[in-house]
Amino acid sequence: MTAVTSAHPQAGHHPDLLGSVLAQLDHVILGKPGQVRLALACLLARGHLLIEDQPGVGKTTLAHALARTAGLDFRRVQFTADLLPADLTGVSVWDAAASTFRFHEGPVFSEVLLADEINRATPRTQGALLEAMEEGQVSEGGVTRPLPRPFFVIATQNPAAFVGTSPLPEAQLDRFLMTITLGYPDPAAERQLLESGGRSMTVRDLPPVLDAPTLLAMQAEVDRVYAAAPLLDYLQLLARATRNHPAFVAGLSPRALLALLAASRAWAYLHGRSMVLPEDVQAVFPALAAHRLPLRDPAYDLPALLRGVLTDTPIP
Amino acid sequence: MAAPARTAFGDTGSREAMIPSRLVRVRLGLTQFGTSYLLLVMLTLIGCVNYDLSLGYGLTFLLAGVWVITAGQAVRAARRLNVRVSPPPATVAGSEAVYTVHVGAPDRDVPLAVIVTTTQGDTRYVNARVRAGEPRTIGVAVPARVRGRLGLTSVRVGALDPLAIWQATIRPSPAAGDAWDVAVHPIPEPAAPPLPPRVETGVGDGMRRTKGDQEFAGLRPYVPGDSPRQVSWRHVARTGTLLTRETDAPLGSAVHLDWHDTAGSVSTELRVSRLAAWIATLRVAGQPFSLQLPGQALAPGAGDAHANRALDALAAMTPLPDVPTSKVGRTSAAVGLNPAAMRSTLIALAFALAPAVLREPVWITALIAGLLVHTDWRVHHARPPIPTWVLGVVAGVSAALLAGSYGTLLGRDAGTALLALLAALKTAESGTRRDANLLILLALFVASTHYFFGQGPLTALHSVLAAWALLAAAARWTVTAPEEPLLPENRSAVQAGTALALAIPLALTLFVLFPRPSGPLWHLAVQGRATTGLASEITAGEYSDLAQNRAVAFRADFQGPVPPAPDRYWRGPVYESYDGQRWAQIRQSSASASVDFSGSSWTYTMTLEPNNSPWLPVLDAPAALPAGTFMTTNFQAYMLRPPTTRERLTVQSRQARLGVREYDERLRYDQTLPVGESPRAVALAASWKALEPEDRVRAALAYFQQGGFTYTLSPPTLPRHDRVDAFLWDSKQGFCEHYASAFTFLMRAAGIPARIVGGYLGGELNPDGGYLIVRQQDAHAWSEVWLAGQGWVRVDPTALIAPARINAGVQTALGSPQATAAPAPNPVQRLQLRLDAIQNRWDDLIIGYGDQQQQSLLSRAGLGSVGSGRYVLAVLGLLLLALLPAALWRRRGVRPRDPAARALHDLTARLKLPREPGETPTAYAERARILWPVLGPALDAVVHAYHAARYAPGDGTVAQRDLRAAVQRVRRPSRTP
Repeated sequence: MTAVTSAHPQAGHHPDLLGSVLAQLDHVILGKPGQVRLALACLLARGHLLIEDQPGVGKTTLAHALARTAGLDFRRVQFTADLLPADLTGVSVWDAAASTFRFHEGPVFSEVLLADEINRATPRTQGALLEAMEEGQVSEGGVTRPLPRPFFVIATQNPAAFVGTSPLPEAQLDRFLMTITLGYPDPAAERQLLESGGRSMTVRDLPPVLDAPTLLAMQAEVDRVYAAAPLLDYLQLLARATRNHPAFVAGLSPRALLALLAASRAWAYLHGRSMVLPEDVQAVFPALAAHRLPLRDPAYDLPALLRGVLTDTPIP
Repeated sequence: MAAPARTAFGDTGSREAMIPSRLVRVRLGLTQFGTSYLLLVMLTLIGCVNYDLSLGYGLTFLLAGVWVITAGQAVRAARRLNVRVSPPPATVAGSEAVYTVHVGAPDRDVPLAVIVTTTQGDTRYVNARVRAGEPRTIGVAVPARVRGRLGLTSVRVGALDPLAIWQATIRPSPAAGDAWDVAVHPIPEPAAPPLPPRVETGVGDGMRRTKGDQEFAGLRPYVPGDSPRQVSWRHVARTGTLLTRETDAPLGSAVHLDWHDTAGSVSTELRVSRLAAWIATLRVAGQPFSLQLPGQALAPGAGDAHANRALDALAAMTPLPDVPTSKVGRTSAAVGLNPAAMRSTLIALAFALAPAVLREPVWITALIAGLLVHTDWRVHHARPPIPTWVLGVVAGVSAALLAGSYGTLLGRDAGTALLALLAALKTAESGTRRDANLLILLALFVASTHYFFGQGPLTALHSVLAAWALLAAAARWTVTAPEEPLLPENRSAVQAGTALALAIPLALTLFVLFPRPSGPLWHLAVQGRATTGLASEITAGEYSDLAQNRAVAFRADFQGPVPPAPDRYWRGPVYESYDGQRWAQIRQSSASASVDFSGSSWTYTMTLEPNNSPWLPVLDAPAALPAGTFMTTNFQAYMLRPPTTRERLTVQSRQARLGVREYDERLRYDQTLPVGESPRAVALAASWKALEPEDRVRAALAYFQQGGFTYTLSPPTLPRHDRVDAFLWDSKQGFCEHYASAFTFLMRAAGIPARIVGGYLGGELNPDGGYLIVRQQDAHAWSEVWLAGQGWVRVDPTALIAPARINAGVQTALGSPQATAAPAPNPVQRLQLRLDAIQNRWDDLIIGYGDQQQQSLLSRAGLGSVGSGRYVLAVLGLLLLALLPAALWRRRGVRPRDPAARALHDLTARLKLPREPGETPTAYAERARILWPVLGPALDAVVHAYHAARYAPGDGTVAQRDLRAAVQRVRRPSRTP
């Protein structure tokens, strides 16, 4: 694959930058190259990322490292049952000195927002965040305030915890471009982690490789990655396969297909190509489809089903 | 740059093993439709044998050919199926377990029937269509009736042919290490009592705490996003730094469930389902629990997996309940009529019924059309069918009306009209796919009944088109599950057309070689048809329009030269009895008179149009007659059964002296005249009595020649008595009957035995086919006189009055009685003659093909008679040969249309390493490289070129050329992997 991909030089002007971004992230997030790339592709595709995993496997580190490397402003919000929308978006406070209301921006006014345990908040608060994600702006006190650009939300939720949580409804899960799980690191990576000591130190010292304007330019370039007609056929065939599949209650929606195309473009861009190939689609498909396909029976093995869909859908 | 995606999710390595069905036995069986179809073919075959319908044989053999061809199609489709069955994770008693049947068909679209039987005794049938190269999953929901384990005793995946006549079944079995069993969890008790209070604290997860809002746990520095309500404002006021309160709650204590908690219940099942209800409650609440069952204990735990383990244990609790024997639900979901498929069926049915419009009463046509339109409307608007009793009343009333207008219901016309009506009534009552299939078969049968009324080329074309349309409609009914897309019309037409085309060689072989039994098994009454045969009696002097009728009586195709016009006397009935008005035939059971053949003979094939007359008009005297025909004592050819369909007979005629030795009784009878009738004529004849017999004939002829008689088809009517006198001395106008009648009268009065012979004179020679067309207007009457030593001698007095009647036909004779030849035909007549020639050729080759023609063909081919060893061998050989096109006909493999994809497809073919459906070219190259490392660079070049040609912007022509070149450079190493 290496030989093949390198044979298509990327027309854009950022391949070296992307290489060093990935190198730096791989250095910090040990043994998770796939997830690191998916997260970066999600950022490049202007999508938001949902990480489903246990605490302590490096969600925050990933978010933080990504933000620092991309030279973006990073904030983290711990979602709890009593978190209010205003806690997220900010409030207008009476400023006695200036005799006016002054808007205190909430944590949502950041370029990278880590929404930890998003399923612990009330649906109302979740709704506020998801609206901000969708619209890219916050309305408060009759004033609409645009969120910074780029705006990238990484939300986490722990699938094992049920008590006192409000699971995100499917319509809202759709706002996230991808879901990934980090999982435990492999033994070698874990050993390296132990030997290197605390990782927060390293994250905090990461030098920025990109900055916001560069990232925006890259996002614009992703949109120009070419998707040929046979590739669009492939996307439609995949959608049909999920729609006819007996294990799924419903298949991929047209919006999900658009998301799949955007993610595939980002993946192709990440690999230095100016056109989308079926392998790009296959690479992002599981992360993209996992939270969009409701199962008829929770006991089904979702990754195996998604693998089956990819194996059986013919590539035109 | 490495490609790390595969480590995350994209790992497609663990491909589940597909069953290679090439090794699996394929069982071929008829579907319900196929069985009915076979019955239809046999029924039409019996009908054809009985009525000797040659075209019917053709259609029957075509349908039989389709029946055979589709068997091969089904088997071949089944051999290429890939089938894999996977069970659902678990299910609850009383609900349905959805098994996933994964089917792939690499190179053709296959309609499928999946039949699954469970260990609990239920069978489910699912109908689906799998597309070429697009494997799909089919969910089969089987009922899980009772708690325990549910398995599949048999899974049958039947590949149907495009018309669903055959079902070629394969039986997949579980792959090694794979089971089709699924645990059936007990039904939770609907109103279960509250949970037992037994709570195990300190065990398991009991001490773990979770974030919550119950108990204060401590303070921590404020972070943005913390709720203002959580901020400890007291500390803020005291210290000035923001602190946030942390609270938590116990994760929950494990509830201990014990089998003995349910001791109050009566049956094991009730206890099990109570435990299941408790587990469901705890699962929803996310609370941990432990479970104690007799002989089994489950440690505390929480979550779905834990709950499932507990339910699995409950499912396996002995004693297992008995499976009720009564059936649950239907084998397959009831499927309503698909409106689009129904419309195709109705249109095809209407087309099949259409020719009957010409002969049916108008109200029948209107009723049928109304019923069909109503059915279409009703199916499209999902209205219920018309109640059966209403249709029964309609059928009864219509049958009574038909019986009234035709006199019977059993005859041909009434029967076919009733059949068409019944088909239309059946549409109105149809509600299921089976009904639709029945309709198609009924319509095929109705299409073959048109042969009773004509077997022309147009009828043949109609029935082939009707069969095509009907089979195409059948192809649309193969898969009718509501969620399956309907086969488009053009695809169904192609599939049915292919089956028909492949069946043609088989049909031709059978048409030529299938034994043609002669002789009917039963008769069909023919009624309600105007008959224009030869008259059974002659009444010279009353009006007759026979001459105006241009309908064809028969055609005669001569081997050798056609006889000249004056010799074309086709001899029919002989009229001997005369009562003064009517000349009638008599039946005399005397021994045959002598026939002395002399002179030239003619051998010719007559194609008789259906008529009611038993006379076979032949030239002169018949020397050799076909079976079923004999010669009477009057030297007439008499048919035992008048032809109800167009019939072909081969006759040999020869000039002969008839009745040189004739019986005196007959000769005396042929001189009798009614007493006192036409005294002037009797007196005239008496004046010739002194002459020699030959001279008396000449004298009578001379009298006609000089008497100023005219030939006309509209003579004045003659009085009831003394007709001959009135004709000879008053009107002096008439046509053949008048002259023959008067001449015979004169001869008898002159003491010479004489009689009138009816038949046809002349015939139009068709230059296109070299045969004679004899029409009803060519009917003629002449006289025969008996002269000692010469026998019966033909004398035609009409020839003296209008020689053109003999030389040029009746039309010319009316205008110019003395003409010697008919005028040359005008272009319209030429065209008519040409069409008639085509019709004659058709009759000769197709309609007339019967046992005699078959016999002569067989002996010419040196195959002996039907049933001989050589014949059997030849039939078997030719049938195998006829199957060859179908065997060789393969849908060309899915060679893609896109040039780049085709190049890659060719590469996979060359490497003999097929590409899996979901395998990217890159992954394929990777796989090939592992098998043949030598090919690495060449494969990389191919993949690179492929990407450029197929996925890169631009039209890709250059890239396609590069790709083809790159593909050419890849050579499969001789060493097999």
